[in-house]
Amino acid sequence: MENRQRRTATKAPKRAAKADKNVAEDVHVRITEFPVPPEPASAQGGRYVYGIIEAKQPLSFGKMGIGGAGEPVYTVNFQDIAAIVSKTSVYIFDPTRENALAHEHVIETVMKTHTIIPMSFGTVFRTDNDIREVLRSIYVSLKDVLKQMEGKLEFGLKVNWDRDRIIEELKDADEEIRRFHQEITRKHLQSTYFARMQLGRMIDKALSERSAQYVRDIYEALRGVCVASRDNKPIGDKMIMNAAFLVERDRERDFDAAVNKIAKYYGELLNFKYTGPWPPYNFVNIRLKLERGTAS
Amino acid sequence: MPKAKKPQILVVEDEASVLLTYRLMLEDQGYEVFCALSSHEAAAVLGSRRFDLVLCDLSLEQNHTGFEVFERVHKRDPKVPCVLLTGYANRETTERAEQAGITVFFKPIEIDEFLQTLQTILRNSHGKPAKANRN
Repeated sequence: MENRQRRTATKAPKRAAKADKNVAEDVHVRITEFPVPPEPASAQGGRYVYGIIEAKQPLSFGKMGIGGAGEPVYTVNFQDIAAIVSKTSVYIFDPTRENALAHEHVIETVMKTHTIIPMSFGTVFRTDNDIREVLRSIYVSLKDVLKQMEGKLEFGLKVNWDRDRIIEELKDADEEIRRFHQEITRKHLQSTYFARMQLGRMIDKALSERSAQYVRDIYEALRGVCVASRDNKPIGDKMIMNAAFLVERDRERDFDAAVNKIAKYYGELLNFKYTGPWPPYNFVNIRLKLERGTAS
Repeated sequence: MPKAKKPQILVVEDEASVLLTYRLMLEDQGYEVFCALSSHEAAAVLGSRRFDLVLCDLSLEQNHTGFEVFERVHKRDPKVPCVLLTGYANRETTERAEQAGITVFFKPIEIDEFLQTLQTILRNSHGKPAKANRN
């Protein structure tokens, strides 16, 4: 899914402190059984929830629901907000490629016309009434998040480096490493465990510093064109940055230009993988769960 | 003529700078090196790939040990040669390693001997323990 839309990126730096805050919240809803008249679970099973939007009227988005049967995607409304859902006979979805793409496709379609709070993959409720109850009970929070996310898109940026090339560069450019390397070579200490370990430690430290510097520069270059950013854990040892950026829809081009500029600046030294637009997965972390309690 | 495939070695070590040192040393010898900083990372990479040799420190993160990694390796393929690196030379460790067909190196390792042994193990590639250093 990640490479759904890979953008071209080859371009230059400045520097940045990590931008702003991460807009996220976990919402755990506890309801009793009776506030809403019980609606019998339909024969069709549950409701798969893709996300939440602002909508005063019921809407339909076509027959593209998850599960392969082309279930219609429609809204379950509460006041001026609505959950995007489709019927499902399955309660637990395996995160297969097909299911993940179906989930993503619905969100993408809705995103074209609405600001959406995306739900985690696999969110299933029993009935429309259950969903309405959730919307009712966290209405204020949802409205708040929708307001914060209005007109904003997420972009992903992963940066890999050519570690070997940087190490070679460090052996020449880093005075301390260069001298130590020369010394152990001159004294034929390459086969000495402690000398090798010491050199390894020096290179490791220099690599960490270099990587942190690059990451700071990239954030700095993008800070002016994004609303917020989130730093995720890099994957594998070639990746030095795995970030998500929240960008105003009308500044998408500026963000694009800034990414290309910094990627060009680093040329072959760093490899930028730039994806999006995505719904704000990294900035909204709402996991809806209905806990059924007993009324007292 | 097709290029000969480089032997692939997985190195598991929970100290990043030491891991990098092994990596640089082994890459200098022409091996393709994969690194894991924990037994968890090792488990993940072992689930998706077969290695020609696995090199692992005895003490890993928290209370995990290299033996756990080797068990996982041998569960998938008992023929993959394994090499244990340890700074703690005790009989129990050595016996356990020998029983499992694991070569043991005691730190500080003699680098030339270490590299030579790896080369021999890979050449033979029967998974039989090579003679380890006993410094």
